Amino acid sequence: MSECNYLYGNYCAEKRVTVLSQMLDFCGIEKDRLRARWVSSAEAPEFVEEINEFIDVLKPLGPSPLKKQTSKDVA
Amino acid sequence: MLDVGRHPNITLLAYSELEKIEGEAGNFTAIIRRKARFVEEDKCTGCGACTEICPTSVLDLYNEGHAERKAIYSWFAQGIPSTHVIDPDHCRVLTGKKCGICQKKCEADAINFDQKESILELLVGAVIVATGYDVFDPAKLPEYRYTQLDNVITAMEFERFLSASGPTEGHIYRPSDRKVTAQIAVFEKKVKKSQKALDRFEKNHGQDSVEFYSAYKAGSLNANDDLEKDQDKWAKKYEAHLENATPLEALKEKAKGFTSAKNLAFIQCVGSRDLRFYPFCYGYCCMHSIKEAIIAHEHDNDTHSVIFGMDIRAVGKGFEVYKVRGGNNSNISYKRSRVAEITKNTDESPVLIYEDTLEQKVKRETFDLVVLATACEPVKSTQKIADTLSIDVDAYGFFKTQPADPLDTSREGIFVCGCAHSPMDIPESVAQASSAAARAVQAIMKKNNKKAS
Amino acid sequence: MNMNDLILYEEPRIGVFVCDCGSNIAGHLDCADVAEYAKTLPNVVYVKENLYTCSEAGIVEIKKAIKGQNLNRVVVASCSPRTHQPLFSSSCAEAGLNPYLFEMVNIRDQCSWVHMGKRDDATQKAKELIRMGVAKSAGLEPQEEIESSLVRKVLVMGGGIAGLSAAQALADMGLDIMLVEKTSNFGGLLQQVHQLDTGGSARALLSKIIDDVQSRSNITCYTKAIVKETGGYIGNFEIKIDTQNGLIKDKVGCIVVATGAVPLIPKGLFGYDGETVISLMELEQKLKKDDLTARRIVFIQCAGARTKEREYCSRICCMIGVKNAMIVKEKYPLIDVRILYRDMQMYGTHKEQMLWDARGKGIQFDVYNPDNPPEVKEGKVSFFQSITGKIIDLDTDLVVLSTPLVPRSDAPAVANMMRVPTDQNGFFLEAHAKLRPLDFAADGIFVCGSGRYPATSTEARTQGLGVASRVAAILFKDKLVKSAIVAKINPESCVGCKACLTMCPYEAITYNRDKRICEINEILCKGCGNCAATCPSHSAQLCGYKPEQLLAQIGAA
Repeated sequence: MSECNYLYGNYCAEKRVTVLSQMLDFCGIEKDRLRARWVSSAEAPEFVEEINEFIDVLKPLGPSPLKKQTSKDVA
Repeated sequence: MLDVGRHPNITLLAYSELEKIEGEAGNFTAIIRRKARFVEEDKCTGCGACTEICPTSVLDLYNEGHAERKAIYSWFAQGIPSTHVIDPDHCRVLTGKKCGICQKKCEADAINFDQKESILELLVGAVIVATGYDVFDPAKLPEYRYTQLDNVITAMEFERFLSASGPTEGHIYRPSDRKVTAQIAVFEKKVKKSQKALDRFEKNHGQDSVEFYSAYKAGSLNANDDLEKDQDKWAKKYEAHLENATPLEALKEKAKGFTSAKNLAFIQCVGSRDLRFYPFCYGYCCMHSIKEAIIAHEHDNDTHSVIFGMDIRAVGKGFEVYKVRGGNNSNISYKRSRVAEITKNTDESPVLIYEDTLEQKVKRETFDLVVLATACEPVKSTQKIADTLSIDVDAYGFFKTQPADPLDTSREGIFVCGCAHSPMDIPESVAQASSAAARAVQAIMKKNNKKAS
Repeated sequence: MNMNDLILYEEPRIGVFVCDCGSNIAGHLDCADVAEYAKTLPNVVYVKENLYTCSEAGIVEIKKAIKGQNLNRVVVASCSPRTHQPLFSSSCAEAGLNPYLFEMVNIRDQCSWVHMGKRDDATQKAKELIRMGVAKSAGLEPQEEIESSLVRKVLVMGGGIAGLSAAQALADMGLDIMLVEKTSNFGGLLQQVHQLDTGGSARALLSKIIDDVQSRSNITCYTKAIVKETGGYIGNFEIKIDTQNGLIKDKVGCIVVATGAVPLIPKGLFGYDGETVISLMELEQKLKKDDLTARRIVFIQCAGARTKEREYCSRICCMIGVKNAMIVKEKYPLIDVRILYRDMQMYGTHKEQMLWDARGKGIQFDVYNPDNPPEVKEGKVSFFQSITGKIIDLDTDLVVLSTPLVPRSDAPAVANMMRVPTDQNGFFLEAHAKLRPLDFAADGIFVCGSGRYPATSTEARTQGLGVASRVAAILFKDKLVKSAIVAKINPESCVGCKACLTMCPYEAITYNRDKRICEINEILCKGCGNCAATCPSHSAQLCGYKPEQLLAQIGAA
């Protein structure tokens, strides 16, 4: 965590993600749709594993509930 | 690296060698031999389509021989420049056979089998020698049996094993196990082929090969005309099949017990601090072993490492803390000892024989894998480079400098940095490279000022 | 109103270039289909598919289209911006289009490569990525690169071997140097040293370098002087120096911190009394004055180092200990010399050779365990000799403690003034432990010598010279040119809440008391966007990544 290009930018991001996840929950968007992980550019297999895992979480959730609503609004 | 490749003031001449240097500081003429790549630098985009299609596989030395590469390749994926190169010793076309498939595949039309070496003449003000080091060949130490024991490897090989883009994708599989896995693959291919032949017989005669063969051997075969005709052929095929299938089963049985290496030993000062080879300490290997042990532990939390050394030299900034943390958090123990000998037990596991100097006892201990921290030695071509540049080499075989002018070689205007100067770690090399650049600028400006006045 | 402002009011005319990357992209998705699709996107007036957009021919294509089709935005859908963005945006600039009106979409690393074997999905994803890129590009604004002047003068703080070497090299390069030394003499710690590890006297080496430095017309030397204040930024630091002749104010382009370190005085360790138990530096003084009367000397290494309170290894004390033991032995062969150590840190070629030679001279070495350290009392040193498993008592009339170098007591004040960090031990912290050992994270400030970490005289000299080239790489340019991707704060809407102030890792934001708003120094800003993400009133925005641009991109997803 101490190797961020922007010094402590990743720590800021970590905090922000925590808050954002609560906000999403409050807005009625599943907070599982957001996740933050730190994977360096040298860790390709870890990255792939992470993304695949995330996809498995996202697929059952389907499209965003907000998207359904907006399309209904338009209709 | 990318920054260097893109810098407007830097011209990269990769795959080139200095032939001759004439003149004096501030005004050198360098003759450079550009080797033939057989790929046009201004056309190749580094897309790698040629590598994918090339039919010739060669042992990949970047991966310390633990993987294969193609005859048209780039040394490693992020290399600069990304221009590929054809290995003239292995390429089918360049060894007089037929192929040229890469030429057809290359959409940038960059492959040129007729490319010739060229000579380039450059005017330069100063020269910086940064030719690095070679890794000591541990085969010279009979007691560690590097060439006989599969599971004794060098730190550089282990580094490739740990790399996610390396031959084992970061898993620490033992070379002896990998050998078996590779054998299994070979046998499987053969078995698949022979199985196909058997399948044909089985289909034609509606009978299982095993049944058929036991009946054939027992002489109780109830053969019709068709089978009569085929039976000898079938039996022979089946015997040939067994020749591969039986060892395959045995190997598979053996491979069932394989796990990744969890019990690691690191041996320091292999070829260094040793009057038979290099008397000096090369300074970075203690930290390198600690780093490798920590990464191995990060990869698999069950890993336990023992580092055998005379002193653990953690002398750089933050190194001592790193070492202590490795001991506390990464299952590393440090043993003050010089390992006397390595043998092996029946499952190819290396056995170390050493004296535990703190307990005054000689011990035998078995490990899954042994990593040798091999010395950093002067590059093999040191003398040739020294002759070309007319500079001196010191008692240890590195380019000679004076303590008060740590970058200056014995010839004015020629500077040295990094492991060509003496063994050192990354931050020291980087700092020295900056210093060498400063010295080069100083040398050039001094000459220019003299000319002006 | 200049050309670039006009673009803002023009209808966007977007050109999209879809790259096949040989078969890297085209092999896994349908580039022709993607290109067809791009034509249907709003504001897109020109689409071209290339075999290699980055090839000479591909670049010519882009330039031709910018002129011929009067494009005012360019989108390239190809590989990674990390490798190719600079090439494409500079090509746009060559064709007269502001380089910040260029947008790149990665349909290789993030699309064709990861979705190999799923041709339809990959094609669909490429279309969506391009749709997003095109939507963002329509809102892009032209930016001017930030230029700033450079003062070709350097402040070197500290007149030890590192600072002197830096000054020497910089002077040779034709720059003006202000060399500031706190004490009355140049030479730093090396003044107290008798002989060098590499042979020869420290004094001789120092005088040679000091004489050279003092004879240079472009080095101004200040002794008994202290840097009081530093402000400003790379290229334009404003400094105040308190000298013997009063306060000097000046401007410099870069600052070199070479303030060194001091040896620990081992009070309370191993019965230190300065008489029969002395420190290494005190032994150096004795050797200098040639008043050594002891017959049996024991060196204890790591006195006060590699302990709980001081975890680091000071790198050079083993070498200094062995060096002095050898000098003693050479001069007085009958003196018994024993060195008690934990790990003999004689790294490198020459130091390890010293260790071989020292053993050859009859100096005895013994390991001690830090959990069971040697005891010094009443003319005896007793320690546990692990190799024999016995406690050994040594009659001794002089104990020499090898103590580590520790940061100067005023190092925190210097760090504070320059706004540069120190590590947990109080040494100055460089920008990157491996790749940028001589730089601070703050641009234009550099570090060398023992203030960074204990260094031998040769290492300190190397670092001093190294810093010179780091400085030269900046000050040899005509002017400072910086990417325009920086944050800006709208003074009209900023309420001065200072939320951004604490978020900025580069201290680029200051609070303007008169106007009660926050302001960004765009030279210091690195474009990380932390402030933009934090600002509750959207007053802080990152150029090229404004909310409306990003929302357009997200909206198109």
